Amino acid sequence: MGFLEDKVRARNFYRYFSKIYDFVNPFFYSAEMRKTVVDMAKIVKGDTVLEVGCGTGFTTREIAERVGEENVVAVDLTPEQMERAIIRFRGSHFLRGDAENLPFKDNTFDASISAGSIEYWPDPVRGVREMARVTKKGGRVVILAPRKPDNALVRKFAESIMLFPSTQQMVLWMEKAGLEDIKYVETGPYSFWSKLVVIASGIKS
Amino acid sequence: MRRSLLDILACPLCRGDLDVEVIEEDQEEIITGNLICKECGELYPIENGIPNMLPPELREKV
Repeated sequence: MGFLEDKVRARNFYRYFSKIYDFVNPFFYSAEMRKTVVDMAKIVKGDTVLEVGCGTGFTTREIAERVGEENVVAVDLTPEQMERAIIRFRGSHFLRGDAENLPFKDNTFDASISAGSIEYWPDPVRGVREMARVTKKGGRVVILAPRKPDNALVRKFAESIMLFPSTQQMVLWMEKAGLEDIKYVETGPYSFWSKLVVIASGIKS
Repeated sequence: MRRSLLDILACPLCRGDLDVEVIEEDQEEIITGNLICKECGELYPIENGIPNMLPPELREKV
């Protein structure tokens, strides 16, 4: 088990990390990657979208621009990270919640998106299943996760920090959660780091 | 939280509908209060305008 693969540890880590998060994050998660995440959700103006693990609101911005600020509902475990997002997007809805026990009715959202959060979920399939449950039939679930590094030495280091699923693992989780027509892309912020993450999408049938 | 959010919220434990108990509210939103599950009776606090919908055991840990 990796160091941050636990909700309490992740919570404590981010309580302090949030102070420098906005400075460090763009090195690993570029605006282009964020655009791909939201593209894969196939959302249009007026759609209601759930974001799981909104953090300081990096992905929230892209979703809000596409569907309108008032149509975004964002959930996070940690209020420290979320406070920044709340100030940035006054029109959106924010609440504290757990990815594996989402506090929403079935078939509520036109799409559900989560970028850089699944690596902290103790039971990823349950989290994906929850995202599928609250998404309307025909709507998409899109998840970005840090990929298991290809280099053995880097992989060993990465796995001591948190959970890094392989692309195959990610696709399997989505299948187990009952999603269909699963598609994925491997991408990264730089040409020399072009497979840092996997972004996968599936349709709720 | 805005009242419109009540239409889509459910208890994270039993998926029951929620009742709202308002302590403080302005023109836009409920600032302080509680969301109470109509099915299992669990209570979820609204603090500084943000509903805390974490399951109770996790709420104490994080």
